[in-house]
Parts: sequence; structure tokens; C-alpha cells
Amino acid sequence: MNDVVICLLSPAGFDRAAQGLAGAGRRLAEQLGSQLTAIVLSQQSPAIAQEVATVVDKVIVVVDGGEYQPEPALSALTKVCSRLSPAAILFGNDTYSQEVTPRLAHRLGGATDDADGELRVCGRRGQEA
Amino acid sequence: MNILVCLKQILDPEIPAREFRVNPAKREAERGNANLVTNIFCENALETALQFRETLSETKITVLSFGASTAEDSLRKALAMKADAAALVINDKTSNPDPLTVTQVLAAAIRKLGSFDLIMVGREAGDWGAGQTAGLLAEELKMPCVSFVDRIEPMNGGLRLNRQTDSGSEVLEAQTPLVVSITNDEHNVPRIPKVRDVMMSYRQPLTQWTLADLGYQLEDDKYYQVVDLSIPQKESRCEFVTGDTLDERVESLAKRITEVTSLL
Repeated sequence: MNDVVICLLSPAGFDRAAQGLAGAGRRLAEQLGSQLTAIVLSQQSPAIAQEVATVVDKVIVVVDGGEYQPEPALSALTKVCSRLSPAAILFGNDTYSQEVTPRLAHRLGGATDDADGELRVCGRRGQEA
Repeated sequence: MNILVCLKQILDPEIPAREFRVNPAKREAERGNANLVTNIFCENALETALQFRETLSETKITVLSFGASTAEDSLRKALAMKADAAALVINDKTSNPDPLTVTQVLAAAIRKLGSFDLIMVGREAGDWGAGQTAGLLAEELKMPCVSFVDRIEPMNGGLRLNRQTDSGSEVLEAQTPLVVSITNDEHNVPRIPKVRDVMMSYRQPLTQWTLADLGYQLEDDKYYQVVDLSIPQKESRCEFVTGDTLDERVESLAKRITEVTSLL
């Protein structure tokens, strides 16, 4: 079963929003019977990776060290997500995530939407970002 | 500088909540007594473009909309606000096209209109609030994208952009061509056109295309489907805490809060 992926881009660290994202990812992964993977791409990547590792099955850290730039971030996420071929990719509601999400979905040939409630599995058709 | 601003006409989001209805069969909002208005973030985008033109006089602003024939009103208002040209792609097929369809149609229209240095869209629409257009349009047109911009100034052949972030704001420098999504700020409150300009706008030319004119064929269920649409039901209950003394009532209230929050 393909993984559920959460992407953490916010410089705010593993804050309440990121914890909520991890929780939503975990519930979706359980419904799908799959693993939960976190991709961390942030200036605080090592610290965030340590914290998120306690609640996900696998952490992938994209080491950059610089400030967020949309094009390199998008390029890195596209490469990593193409390799993982996840069932679903979840992002938080921070500025950077909102910027990257539709573009990543376009590049991966998936769909994107803004969800602020419950995520449920109703069937499987393809990727969703 | 050639600027294109995308405008979306939506049901007035300011209608009282009690008057808002959805049609579950069609899975869309019912118009009812609501007016049709231009999405506020799109108007912020137009205002930002108009202010940019005030600092760089050799700038042409074109407004573009994809929607029902009534969207002409939004474009006429934009002309009254002093946009230079307007184009409408009439959507006579589906009332709620998905974000990718919208951006593919807009991209086809933009290619037909010509070459643009800067493409501006609102950060999200007040109806569905998907907030996808800027990013998807950038991908369709193979352009870079900057989101949540509230001010744009010319700078050495490029642009200086002020962008809102979760922790404050960033000042960015970028080269054209570029897609930006515009958010609201005290600097880009849309101007109110003069009555005379509103009347004059109805005499100005407005390009109208159908999807067939763009060679675009709508596909059903290409991206995602709205399978259900409903208004959230609010449930409220009132409980009175009991106790003989104030301390007992406070204790009882604290205990009840703990019980309720532990269920969340």
C-alpha cells in the first residue's frame, strides 16, 4: 500500500498546526492500511525531524540550510514524492505550503483541495496532494 | 509592462447566513436573493495593478474572466476602474468547473490575448476558497509564482514585491514574466469608480470568446468531484452548573470543562 506523506515546510517547527497535520496523516494512513512518512524541508529541519519522528513511521529530511525558496522547494518535493508515489500528500495551512501545494499536484498529475475537516477514504483512484 | 488581472464573479459572500442555501442535487449554492459581485481578492489584485501603473506609466492592464455571461458586469466595473482592456470566456457548460479546468481555460485565453509580463490573480475566491489558481496557472504557463503579495513596485527592469507570511512580511525581488497571487492589505483597498466611468465602460469594447473559440473541450470528472455539499449544522446546548456556594459552582464548572475538553 502506498504511503501517506505529510510535508512540513513551516519555519515554525513542530507546532500545533504540524501536530494536527501529523494526526490527520496518521488517521488517513490507518484507514488506508499504509505507513505515514514525513518530508521535512525547513531551516529547522533537524530539530523538526527529531520531534516528528516520534509520531510517524519514516522521516525524510531535505537538507538545504537556506531560506525557503519556492522553486527549489518544489523541485525537491517533486523528486521525493515521485519516488515515493504516495497515496496522498498532506500539507499544513501555512503560507509556504499553500504556495507549493497546487504546483506540486500539477507536477505529479494529481488533484489538490483545501480541507479543514475530516479526511475519509471513499475509494482509490490516484494521487491526491 | 503588460499586466493581466484575472477576475472571478461570485455570489455575494456578505449575504446573511440565514439566507444562504445549497442545492444538494446540483451540489452548488443557490443564488436566491444574493447579488453577483467580483471576488474581493480579485479586486485587490486589480487595485494593485492600477497602483503599479501609476508608478510606471507605460503599463497596460487587461482583465480576464472565465464564467457565466453575467461576469461581463465584473469586467465592465474593472473597465470603469480604468483597466485598459477586457476579455470574457463564457462558460456555458458547467456551473462549477474544477480548479485545473479553470486554469487551463484561463491559460488558453492568456495565450490568445498575447504576451504578458505579470499575471495577477486573487489569493482565493469567496465562494469555494480553493486558492489554487495562481499555482496551477504558473504551472500551465511555465512561469514562476509568488503568493500572498500585497504590493508591487517596479525596480531596475524587475519587480519588488511585498509578500505576507505567517510571521510577518517578506520583501522579494523578481524578474518577469511572473504569476502572483494578491492578498488584501490597507494599501490595496479597491477604488470606487465614478458613475460617469461606469456608464462609459458599457461603451468600451469587450472581447468575448466561447470555449470552442479557444479550442477547449470540457472533460467531466477530470480532476475531482464534489460528491456532497451541505451547510454545517450547528449544535448548541446550555447547561447550568449547580452548587450551594460560589466555590462549589466554580469547582463544578471546572470539572465539567475538563470532561468536555477531554472528549475533543
